[in-house]
Amino acid sequence: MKPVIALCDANSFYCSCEQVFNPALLNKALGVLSNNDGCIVARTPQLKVLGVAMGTPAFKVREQVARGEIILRSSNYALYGDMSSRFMSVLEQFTPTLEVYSIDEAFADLSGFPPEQLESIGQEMKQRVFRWTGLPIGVGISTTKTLAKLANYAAKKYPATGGAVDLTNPERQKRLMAITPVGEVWGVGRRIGRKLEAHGIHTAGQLANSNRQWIKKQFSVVLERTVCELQGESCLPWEEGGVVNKHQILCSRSFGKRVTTKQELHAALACYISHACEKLRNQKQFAREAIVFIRTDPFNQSLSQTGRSIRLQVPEPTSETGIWLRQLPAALDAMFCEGYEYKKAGFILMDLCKVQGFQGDLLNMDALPDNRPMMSVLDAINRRYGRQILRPASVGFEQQNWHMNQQLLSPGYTTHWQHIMGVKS
Amino acid sequence: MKPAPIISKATLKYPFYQSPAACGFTSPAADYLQDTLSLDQLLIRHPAATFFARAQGCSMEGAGIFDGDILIIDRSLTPGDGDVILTLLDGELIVKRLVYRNGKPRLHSEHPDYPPIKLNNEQSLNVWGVVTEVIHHLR
Repeated sequence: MKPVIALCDANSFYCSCEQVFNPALLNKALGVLSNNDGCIVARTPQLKVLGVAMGTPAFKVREQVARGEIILRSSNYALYGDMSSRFMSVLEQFTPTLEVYSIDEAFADLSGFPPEQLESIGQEMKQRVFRWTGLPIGVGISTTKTLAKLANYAAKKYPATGGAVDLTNPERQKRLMAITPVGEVWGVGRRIGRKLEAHGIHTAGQLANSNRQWIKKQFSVVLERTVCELQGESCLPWEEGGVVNKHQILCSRSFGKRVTTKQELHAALACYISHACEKLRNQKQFAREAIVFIRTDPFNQSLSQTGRSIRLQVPEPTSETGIWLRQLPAALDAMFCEGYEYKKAGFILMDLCKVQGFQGDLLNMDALPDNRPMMSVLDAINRRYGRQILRPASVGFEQQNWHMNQQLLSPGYTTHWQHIMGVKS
Repeated sequence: MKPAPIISKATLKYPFYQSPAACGFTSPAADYLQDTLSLDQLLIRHPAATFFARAQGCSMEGAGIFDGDILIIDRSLTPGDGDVILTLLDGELIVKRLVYRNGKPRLHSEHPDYPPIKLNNEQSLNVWGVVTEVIHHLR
């Protein structure tokens, strides 16, 4: 039997998170900025309509912001991380097999559901995520990941679908692919799209019908796999454990048996942390933020439920396992409660940057052969004389100079008691 | 004054003993040690759908909601007649009691100074979540 896969992703995720807690932002041209308030990295449809492209530097829309036509927010990773884990845990009520692909999207295994019910299950997923979390999502269902992505594209592109599309029927697949530009296919992108068009392949349907061997020779084995997937042959493995993409690295597992003690969670999370950091170093990247989460099995409503996540931050981007590990006990102390059967834990590295992307050679793990003694002296001094009293001179001498520029930061609605939303009563 | 060496404290490792060293009899209660009571367990049924907000104003005092109180809101629940809800009205989040009269929703306050709000044709009921608990600090 063919697998059935749903791709669920949140619409303008960062913007939606902001809107859930601040209704004044609803239906507005809203953009969320990257770190240091640099560029726009998330846009509402109203902002897209104004022609503001992804990656537009904040200063370029300064005048429109001053006139009140555009609203900008700093990225609030604490909020987004918390909302993401809520989103995923609602999805897990539908299926225990979930591949969290990024902070705002996940593949859900729906194999085994009666085919005629898939469309309504998709609608139900969408409605329940919205009701529980306030996040609008789109759901695309099909037999391969690439087709599920395509179905999701249709769910968003065509409002008549109600935001959920069942694309398991091959005839329906053909009809949709015939009208979908090849550049919209997952894994094609702009550059390969242009090259395909030069060869006369303009639609997803034409790509699906092209010769695999030729694709492999002219392009790559990766694109050949995409063609297979469009033809309904599942080629991309199910990766429940760890996923790498350019924005974050996630390592998480559902436990084989129920876990009830802090020690077991610590062991599991320590493993995920070292795994994630290893991947990070392999990518020659550094991270400044991470989210660690633990939760019970939302699929089993007969048990008491809990789900907690905590954001970890380091002053300088790092790929050193130890630096993240050191934060784990305190994080677990804050999250762990006795009396629950934990089903899943995970660690997400966020806010990734390239080695060259920061000035911090004193802390650059790859710059020195063995920096651990230096690191411990540094830490010890900072511990005794106050946080970050010793820091690279290139960072500057003003207090807290390296803190992110977040002038437009929304409150930590779900992570700080002082920041919870005020409501009129 | 000579500062103590920096490194010693940082690198010294102390073993951590889960139970104290045995002196005399072990506590007869040790086998019965239970986890402490968790307010989460008592107050939160659906963690993924539960949010907190701070009440501002006095219109819901009759329902036991005072200015500054913390509200626990469960978005997963279906709001019914008589529920205290957080609702979106004219672009603002407000706490009111939902009351159905002849099948039509009304928003009631719990204070003599605040009359009930009838929703007009442009205002549809837009419920953010059901308020399930109030945390009221006594000092």
